[in-house]
Amino acid sequence: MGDEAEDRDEPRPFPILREARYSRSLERGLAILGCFTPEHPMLGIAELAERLGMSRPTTHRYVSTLVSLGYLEQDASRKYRLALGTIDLGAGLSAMGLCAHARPHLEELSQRSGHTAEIAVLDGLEILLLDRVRGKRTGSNKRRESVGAGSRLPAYCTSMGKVLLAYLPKGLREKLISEMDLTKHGPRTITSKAALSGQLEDVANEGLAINDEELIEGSFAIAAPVREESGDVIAAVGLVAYGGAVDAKELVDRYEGKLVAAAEKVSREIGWRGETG
Amino acid sequence: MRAPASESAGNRTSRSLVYGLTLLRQFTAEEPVRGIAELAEVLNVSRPTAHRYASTCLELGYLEQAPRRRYRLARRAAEPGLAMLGSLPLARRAQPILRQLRRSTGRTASLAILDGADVLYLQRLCGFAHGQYELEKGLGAGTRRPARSTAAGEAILASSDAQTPEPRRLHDDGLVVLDGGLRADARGLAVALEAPGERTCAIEMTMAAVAISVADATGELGEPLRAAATALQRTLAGSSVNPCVTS
Repeated sequence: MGDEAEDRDEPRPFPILREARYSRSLERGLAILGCFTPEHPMLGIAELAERLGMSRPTTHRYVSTLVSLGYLEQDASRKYRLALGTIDLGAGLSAMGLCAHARPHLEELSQRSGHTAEIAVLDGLEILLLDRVRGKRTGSNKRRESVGAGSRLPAYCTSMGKVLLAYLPKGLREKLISEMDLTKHGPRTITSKAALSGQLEDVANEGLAINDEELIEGSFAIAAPVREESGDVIAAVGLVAYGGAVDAKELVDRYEGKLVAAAEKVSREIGWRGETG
Repeated sequence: MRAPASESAGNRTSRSLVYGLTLLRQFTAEEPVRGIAELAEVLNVSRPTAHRYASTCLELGYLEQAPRRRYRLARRAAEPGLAMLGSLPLARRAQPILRQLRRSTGRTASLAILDGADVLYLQRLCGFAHGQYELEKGLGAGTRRPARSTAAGEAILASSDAQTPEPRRLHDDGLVVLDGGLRADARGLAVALEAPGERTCAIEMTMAAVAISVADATGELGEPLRAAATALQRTLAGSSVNPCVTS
């Protein structure tokens, strides 16, 4: 493709991909884009060249290419900044939806715990189950197994639903609770709106919700929040055990750390940059 | 950009960089997973060449391996766009306002600008009311549509006086209601705003067309939407920031 010919006569302290099976020009172009951050939004040729250990003419050539493709633009001070076109590079990624980002982390969580890992979003007064990975150790329960991606479950009696309600602003949360019909589904379903409201406060403080046979007898679950780039909680990851495999206390004691870590990994996948904890 | 071969091959342009980035651009909402054979065909290069660019993207974390030896975008591909948005005063200042709008209505709240003949969504915060998540499938930041096909685009064009929208789309106080722009089953409500030094933008709310009548939508959601647009206009006007994007 002429890539070698393009690159051969240039000094290169920078490349990290030395093998000929990689394109150095592409690597360098992407490295130039990577230099621009909200902390350093404007950079000149000299700064870029120094940062990447490339000559100024070489840097200028790649920068010109990036300008012609609509990924960089020059401002009045003759420095460069990221242009609108950069959003197109990741557009396919933001359109993939949560499932694609969450899947590997659900698989890992399920494998490590042996239980069923799920992800859901709030959908009105219900949760919408986006994906689930069945665990090997999970017991069997016909009602629970009939639930899959695309299923809706009541928010108030699922651990993921309680996480999603807990992080809403208080006024909105109370409004949604007032619209709910707290039907008893399991032996310990919360049927009092005041009790539900109180428990949701705790969930928001602790970052963990527990479903203690509130939806189905013999079924226990824990859930943790997934945050998007803005910091808002937009989904929940849950770990479910049914068929009497374990109880709620054992789920929390043994898997809370793994669950919270999985939820945080999904958050980072979708652009969350906040601090852990 | 679809035909990199027509790019200048002079010494001012790196052809390899053009090809590599063009390859990356082939991974879209419609075609999220791609194999070497089809990439080589779209780029009009040999398979080993396409493989070399894909391997480079894979090694650097812009692509990841998908089943059956194919590829899909990886997290790093979104970073230049996120950095651009983080450096854009308009997007930074809009975010808390969009979050508030989503919170108070449960609907998807978005910020859009014109980019050539397209309307470009810089931010889309997915709502949590019934049906909103499913409506947002395949959309997200970076979604582009022909400007006149969406409520946001129509609102921006109407406010620039250059073109008048169809009267049935334009309601009181610049509120535009338009169905089917983003998806066949979606209804958009948008208000445009201008601030000195910034390009005209619009805040749009998206909902299922069957979920709410036009009268109810404008009645219930018009006010919070206008309030959000006013709030954004105020924070943009109050800050003497340098515009980060030239028109």
